[in-house]
Amino acid sequence: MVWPFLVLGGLTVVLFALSLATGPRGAPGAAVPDLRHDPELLRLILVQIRLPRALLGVMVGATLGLSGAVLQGFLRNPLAEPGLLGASSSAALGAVIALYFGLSALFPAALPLAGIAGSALGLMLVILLARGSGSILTLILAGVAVNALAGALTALALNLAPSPYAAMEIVFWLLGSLADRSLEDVGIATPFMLAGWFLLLRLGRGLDALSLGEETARSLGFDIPRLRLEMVLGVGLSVGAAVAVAGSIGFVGLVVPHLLRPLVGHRPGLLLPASALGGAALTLAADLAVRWFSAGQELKLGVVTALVGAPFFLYLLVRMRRVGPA
Amino acid sequence: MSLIQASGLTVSLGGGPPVLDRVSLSLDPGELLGLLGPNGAGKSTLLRALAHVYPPDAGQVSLDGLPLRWMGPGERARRIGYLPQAAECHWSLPSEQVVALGRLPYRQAWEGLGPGDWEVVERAMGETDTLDFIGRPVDALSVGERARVLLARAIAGEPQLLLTDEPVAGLDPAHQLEVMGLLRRLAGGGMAVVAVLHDLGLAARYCSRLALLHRGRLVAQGSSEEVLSAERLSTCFRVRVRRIDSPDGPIVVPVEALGRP
Repeated sequence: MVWPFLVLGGLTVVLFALSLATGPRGAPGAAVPDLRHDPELLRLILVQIRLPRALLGVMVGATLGLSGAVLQGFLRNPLAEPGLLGASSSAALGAVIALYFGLSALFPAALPLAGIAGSALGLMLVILLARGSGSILTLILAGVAVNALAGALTALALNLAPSPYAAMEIVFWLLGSLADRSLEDVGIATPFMLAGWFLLLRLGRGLDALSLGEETARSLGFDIPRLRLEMVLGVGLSVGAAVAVAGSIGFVGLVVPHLLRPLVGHRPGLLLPASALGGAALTLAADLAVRWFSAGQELKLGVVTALVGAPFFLYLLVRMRRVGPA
Repeated sequence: MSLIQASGLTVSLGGGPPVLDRVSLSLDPGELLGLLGPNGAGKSTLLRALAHVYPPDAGQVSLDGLPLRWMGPGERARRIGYLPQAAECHWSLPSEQVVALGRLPYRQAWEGLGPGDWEVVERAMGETDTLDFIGRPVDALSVGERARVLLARAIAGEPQLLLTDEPVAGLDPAHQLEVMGLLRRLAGGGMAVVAVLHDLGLAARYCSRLALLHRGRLVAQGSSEEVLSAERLSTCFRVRVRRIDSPDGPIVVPVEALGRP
């Protein structure tokens, strides 16, 4: 059971190096500086532009993959996704509010901080709505409600945007991208993501027990309400920070655990670190594809993952209807 | 002092009449208690209360004189094995990994299973005749095969008290007899075993003691002759039963459904 981790880890390292070595394409006619003769500019580009992008690829991808694996394990449903608990959409709403009121123009840290605050508030609402009932259905419905609310408020912000440019800025940000992020963005997001990962990675044993159902997991000594609280907090912190710096990048949390599950013998606990590595690798790869295949206007990363992920989601739905859940 | 001492167990769901009404029960090591009763009598609720999966609203369960509510969850999990009704595994885990989940209460976070754990897992699979399923995904097994793997999971925790909810549901006759024989053997080895059963005949033949629940109350307990009296069966189960004492033990067969009294 070691080789999947070696392969995924190696893949992530290679893709990370490739990401550092790859600049943007397109912009036809633009002067391309000769980096070989300008080590100072090369260093600047590597450290200030490409390093944050590659680091965020790893961190955002790991967050999405890990959160997806945790949610699928907890809900025992291969269709679960970080978006499900309303974490992504409420984080997006927080960031949109920061953009809308021009806070992000006042000081750059406003965007990530507002995103984290948004996701924390959205998740708190989910917990309050689902509190007292132990049922998974209530949790999902609370997530749906918060998603709808966040979506409506985001639409309101777009509707009332003072100028088409402001609306465009919001829409572009919502599409999700790793381009043009700074080391400062990375620094602000890191502590929240690390705290979230710490909470989530500890859930492995509980998720293993939960594969036998909630009653058996209880009889094996696991406190299910506490597990749920730790899951909600962990997903909220890490996904909130991820969405705040990179916008909404969907379906990584759906696709990665699903693809890796057979490699770890379908064990929900082992799937957690595997999905973190796999999510990092997939996000780095998608972000490389964005740079390699874009001509002129660079494609947004969130658009690419959605284009690949949504058909995959449909395929899973159709297959589940035919053969029952995996 | 009995191993398990339950007194005054009461459970009310949603404020209606209690699902379980002041049930008291004691159990010694070596006993195989058959828990009987018509649908909705509160058998599963009683089992959950005994397992502390859902603690009772009133009353308490003690194990070795220590109330379960005072015990840490890990300690409780190591002492009590619980196999719910229609148990399922939600992922396509290999069978031996499912059985190994029974060792979770013995391991800390991040800690894998040791060789000793795997010995216990193998023994549990041997006892349930499931060694052939090693390496096979549990969802590729038949219902009966899966039920035995899940029983092996419960045994793999080496509990003092084993609580099983309809352990023979969905099994063919041979495996029904084997599972009942296994439960009796486990009891013979010093475990206290409770099995919720619907088959009165199996209960009469294999269990050392029977307890009969009706509308949340314990209406009788004792030997099969005492508990399965014609009068009681007609009021609780609304059936007429034919009982034949044979060299293979008592044979109890419901032969006629009676109307409501």
